[in-house]
Amino acid sequence: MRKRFGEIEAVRGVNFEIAPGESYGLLGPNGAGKTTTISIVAGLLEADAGEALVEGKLLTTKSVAAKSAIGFVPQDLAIYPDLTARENLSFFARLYGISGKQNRSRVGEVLKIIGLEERAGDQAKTYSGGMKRRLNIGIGLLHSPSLLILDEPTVGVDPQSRNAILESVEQLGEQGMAVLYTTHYMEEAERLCDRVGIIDRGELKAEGTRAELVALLGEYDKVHLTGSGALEAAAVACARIGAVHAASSGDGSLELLVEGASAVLPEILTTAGGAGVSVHGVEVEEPNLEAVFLHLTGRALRD
Amino acid sequence: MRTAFLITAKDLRQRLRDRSAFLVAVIAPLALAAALSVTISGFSAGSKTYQIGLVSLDQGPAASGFSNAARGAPVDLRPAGTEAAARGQVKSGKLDAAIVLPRGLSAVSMGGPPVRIDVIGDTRNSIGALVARSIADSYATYVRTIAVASRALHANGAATVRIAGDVASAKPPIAVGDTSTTRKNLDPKTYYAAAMAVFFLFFAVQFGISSLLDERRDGTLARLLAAPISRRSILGGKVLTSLALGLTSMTVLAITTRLALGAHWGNPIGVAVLIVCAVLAAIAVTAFVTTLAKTHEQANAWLSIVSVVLGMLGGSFFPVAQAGGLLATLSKGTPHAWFLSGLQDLSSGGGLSVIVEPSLVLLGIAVVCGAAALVRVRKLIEP
Ligand SMILES: Nc1ncnc2c1ncn2[C@@H]1O[C@H](COP(=O)(O)OP(=O)(O)OP(=O)(O)O)[C@@H](O)[C@H]1O
Ligand SMILES: [Mg+2]
Repeated sequence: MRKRFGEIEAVRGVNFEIAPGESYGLLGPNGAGKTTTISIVAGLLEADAGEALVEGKLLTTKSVAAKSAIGFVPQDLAIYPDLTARENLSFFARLYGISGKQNRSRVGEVLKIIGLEERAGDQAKTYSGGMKRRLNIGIGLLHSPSLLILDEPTVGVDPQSRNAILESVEQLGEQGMAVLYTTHYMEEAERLCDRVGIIDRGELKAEGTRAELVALLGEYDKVHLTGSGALEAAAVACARIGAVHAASSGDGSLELLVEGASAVLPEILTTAGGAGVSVHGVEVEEPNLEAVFLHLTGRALRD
Repeated sequence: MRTAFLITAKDLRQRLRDRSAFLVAVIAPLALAAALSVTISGFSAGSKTYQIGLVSLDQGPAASGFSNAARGAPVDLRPAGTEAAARGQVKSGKLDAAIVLPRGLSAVSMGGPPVRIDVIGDTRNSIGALVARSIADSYATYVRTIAVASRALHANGAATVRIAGDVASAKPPIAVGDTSTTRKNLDPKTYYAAAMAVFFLFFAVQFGISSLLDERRDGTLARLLAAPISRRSILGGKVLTSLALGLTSMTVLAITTRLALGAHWGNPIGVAVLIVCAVLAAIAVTAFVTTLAKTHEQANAWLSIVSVVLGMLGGSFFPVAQAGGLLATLSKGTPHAWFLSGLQDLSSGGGLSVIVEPSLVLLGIAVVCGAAALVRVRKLIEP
């Protein structure tokens, strides 16, 4: 798929498949093109090139029938603040053709899943941030879609609600719903997703299971160095060391991909010190998806 | 079609809940019409006609509104030149009393500083002074009501007031006492009932189409677009909401003002036709304005500007159609004027044929603006 907004080419050649019942994560930093990609998949936006097929059916902005296969949870809250949770759910369920008795029972079920039974009769504007988020997700579950699309559902959520959200997404995956999940949190992608696509600047850099992606790192170790001072300069200086494959500075830390970390560690510390960083700690970490992202793009996932 | 109804039902539920639509569509016009008709008809018709002189130091349209406040009262209102001249004429008995409209009076209804209306009377003619005084009082109430209403109407009051100010400074050629007309006029109660109804109609229908911008702001538009429903039915639902609110508002107002205020709207079939045509025109005009705006705030500001200006030109505040000149010509471009003149013709007992022209003009406005809105509406239904 490709999609351009004026000067910005938000998506330029993204291609992936999700099997029935599979959880697929799109992992990428801000502005990577995640929302644009899934907006095309959900039939909100028209792609400039390429197409999305859901259950074998072409899905465009005009495919009314095919859209019922998809449950969509937008990144930003999308609920009617002056309606109650029950009314919000009931309205959207009707749009998906669930009416009458069925409507009532399904709304009740979803209220239970999102844990809002007690507050179901209050207007959504009176809810806490986490409750609103849960309602936002609940609306996507109403019609038991075969593909559930969630766009960064945990952004701006307290740790407790975040955990509740992740748990319910896990359960949905176990129940056989295919899930397309976007995030810029590595932990979420690792925990929830059978397969992960790494997206940056509108391109899918790599995809596979966690093990497959980590294997891309080959012999590299990930070195996480905390400190203060001229971190950026230190990243540049460390990148010049032969065994250092990539280096990126973040908030109070340096991330490095290093071949044979234990041998090079002294040199790294000297270089960082020489560049004006006072080092507080060093860790050689298990390779993870953040390291894969650094390896593929030369930048840290969160900068 | 079913989904359009679902969306309309949801919209109406929201509107009922926040009461905003009820306030704009029923309460505000009813309160204004009641206030105006009570103050205007507060005179008992006597056999004597009082000669009241009018001195206007104000440059705006206030004088015309003033002569209107005196309608139905047993007075002959006429310009009396300067304040000194008026004083002289009252003293000599040529006038029963005189009223001095101060500078800045027109600005008051747009939020300007308060001013004082002076009544010049003679102790030997206390009834004349009393009559002049009560006309001045009723006019003051009228100005206050409008000022309050225009402030309460929209959060975007600033824009409204600015434009209102522009209109006032354009010095419309309204001559005091120039209300003579060959047509039979609507009685003041009916005139203000209808004028307020059609003025607020333009605000009531905004809760439909322009709520697409609310849905976008709240993110729910993306949800509607992701649902298995066509964009056409989303739009249809919004138009239906406008239609429901517009028709309900007008019908409730026609019936309530008839029963409670004794307004005479005329032949019910003719009135119904005019109402339907006016509602369609109002929906089309507001829809078109909405499609021009980029943001929610912009749409709100533009919609209130357009609604207030059309209302002023169209005679919702002052019967400008009788003023003649440029203003009367401009007024012919507004749905308000056509609706009011249709009612006026109907009340002259002309039979249903008299509403053909105003109805067709209103439908024409609806078709032209509606088509223009349709061309541009696509961008309103995008995430
Ligand atoms: N409607 C739009 N008009 C113009 N540019 C847009 C629009 N939507 C997205 N973009 C641009 O396209 C790029 C990708 O945006 P997108 O929202 O898809 O990123 P994202 O991966 O979802 O980011 P985030 O994690 O911040 O949500 C960005 O540069 C963004 O500014
Ligand atoms: Mg996004």
